[in-house]
Amino acid sequence: MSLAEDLARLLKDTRRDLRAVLDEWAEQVPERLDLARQHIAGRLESEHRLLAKVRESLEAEDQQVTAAAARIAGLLTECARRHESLHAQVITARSVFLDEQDRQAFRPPALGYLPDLNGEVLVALLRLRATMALEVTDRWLSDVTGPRPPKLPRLYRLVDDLWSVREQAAPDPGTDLDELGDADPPTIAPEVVAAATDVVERTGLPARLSALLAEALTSPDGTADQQATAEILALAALWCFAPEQSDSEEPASADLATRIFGPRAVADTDGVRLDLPGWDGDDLVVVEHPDALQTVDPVPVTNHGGPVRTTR
Amino acid sequence: MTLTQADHTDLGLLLAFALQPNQRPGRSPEYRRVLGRYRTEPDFRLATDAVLHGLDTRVLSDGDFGLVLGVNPESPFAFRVADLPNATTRDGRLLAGLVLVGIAAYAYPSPADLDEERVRRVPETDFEQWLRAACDRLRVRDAAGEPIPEEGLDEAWRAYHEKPATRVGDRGRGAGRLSPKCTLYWVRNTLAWLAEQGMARPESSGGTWLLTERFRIQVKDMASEPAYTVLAAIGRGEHRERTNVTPVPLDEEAGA
Repeated sequence: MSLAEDLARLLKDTRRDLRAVLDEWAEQVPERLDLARQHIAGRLESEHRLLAKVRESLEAEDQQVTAAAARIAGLLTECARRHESLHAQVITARSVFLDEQDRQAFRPPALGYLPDLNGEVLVALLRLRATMALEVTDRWLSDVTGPRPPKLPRLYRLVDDLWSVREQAAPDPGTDLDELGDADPPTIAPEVVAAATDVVERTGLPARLSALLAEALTSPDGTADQQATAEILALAALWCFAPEQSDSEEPASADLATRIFGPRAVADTDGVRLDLPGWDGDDLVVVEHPDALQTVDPVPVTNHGGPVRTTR
Repeated sequence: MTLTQADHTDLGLLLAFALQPNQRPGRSPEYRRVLGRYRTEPDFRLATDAVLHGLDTRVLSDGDFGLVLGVNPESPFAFRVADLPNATTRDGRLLAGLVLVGIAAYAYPSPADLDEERVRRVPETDFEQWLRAACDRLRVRDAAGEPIPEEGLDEAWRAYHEKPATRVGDRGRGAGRLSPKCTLYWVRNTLAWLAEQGMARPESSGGTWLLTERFRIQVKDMASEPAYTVLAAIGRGEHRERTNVTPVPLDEEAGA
């Protein structure tokens, strides 16, 4: 009987809220159901055997024996019937679990406790240390936003798009690359430009200006003046940052920036200051492609693991 | 359940609308039609919910403003903090996050407000001052009520408090525009980002934003569960800081 009661409770709880008994289902229930099946099979078998014996006695001459045998047979049939119905419950228990899992999967979540956003969330959050607070705010930023469908590339479209970008760039007057190549100001030695290009290659974009400068100033090859290389890098990064300031003599800088950083490179600032001796200004972030600006956050070489300080 | 091919096409159409937060059933008869099917046909609804379940996403609301989806972090549709425009630094991310929680607290000052369907107005400068005042109250004060300066502490409110409300860039591309070194920049940036997600609308007069029903649904979902549990766990001292994972270079990962 206790087996039947136990099973009835489990099924009831399963139907009410699956999550409440999920652990039970995962750990103990399969074993318990197996044991119950074995137990019932054993009982049913012995009951059937006894019933066969008792039925033999029904043929007896003695009136008393026949009456007793009939009573026992009735009891045994009742026992067998109960065990059979229990058996039916045991073998369908698993499907109850699976059905409930399907049914309850899409049930709207139970309405939880609604906190006082100001007192319980905002003030608590403002009091946290910045690293802890970042975990909570990052959760907010990502979870409060609804779906953001990923953009899937399709190769043939990509090729088309790449071509169309070139078409847009071509009619722009004054950026004819062949002409600009000749207009290089003579004050910049070609090996300095080459060294700067090497620095960019070694550092890789996106990069912070501080990382590029550090690489240039500590560069092992002695062919070019390290200070000049660093200055050219800073100039090119600055041009990427503010190209609209160009005037008649500037195409050379455009060409320089193109040769050092690539044709579509841009730079932007996020307020971090350059922290290199002898240099001043913002620690620009240089990326190969304007779209990349939104996602990158290279670490300044001068940030020694501490939090980024924007004030001095 | 016997859904035909046409039903499945409608299901896909509904998901396509739901994945674009700026689409409104009011503007598109097609959206209205498929949303109506979701609301009234149990088979269609079950099938849609099951597909969304597979995408680690669920329906938060199917009201007149469209199908609002809640996205689990594992979903391919999940927003990553790195997708946030202009928040490339840790400081910027923190400020954007504080402003976001602040906007929610400003717009829904009591739990009952979270249940009330009403458009909320957020005037940029009022809100900036309100959050600044909330930070200011957290300063440690002496007996005379004067704030005691404490150096080296790194509580979240300081990131907001130490920045001026407005500051205009004076060189380069940022000249004449608000600089990321001021808080109003982040207020505006965060509200503009919410507008991009269909959760806010700039008022035509400028300087004031309206928060949409979609924002309320998302904040309510956030507030009733994750926002609060993490903070409560931190309060009980059970929460441990996230361990920093160093990114593995691709070739190393492939070799492992």
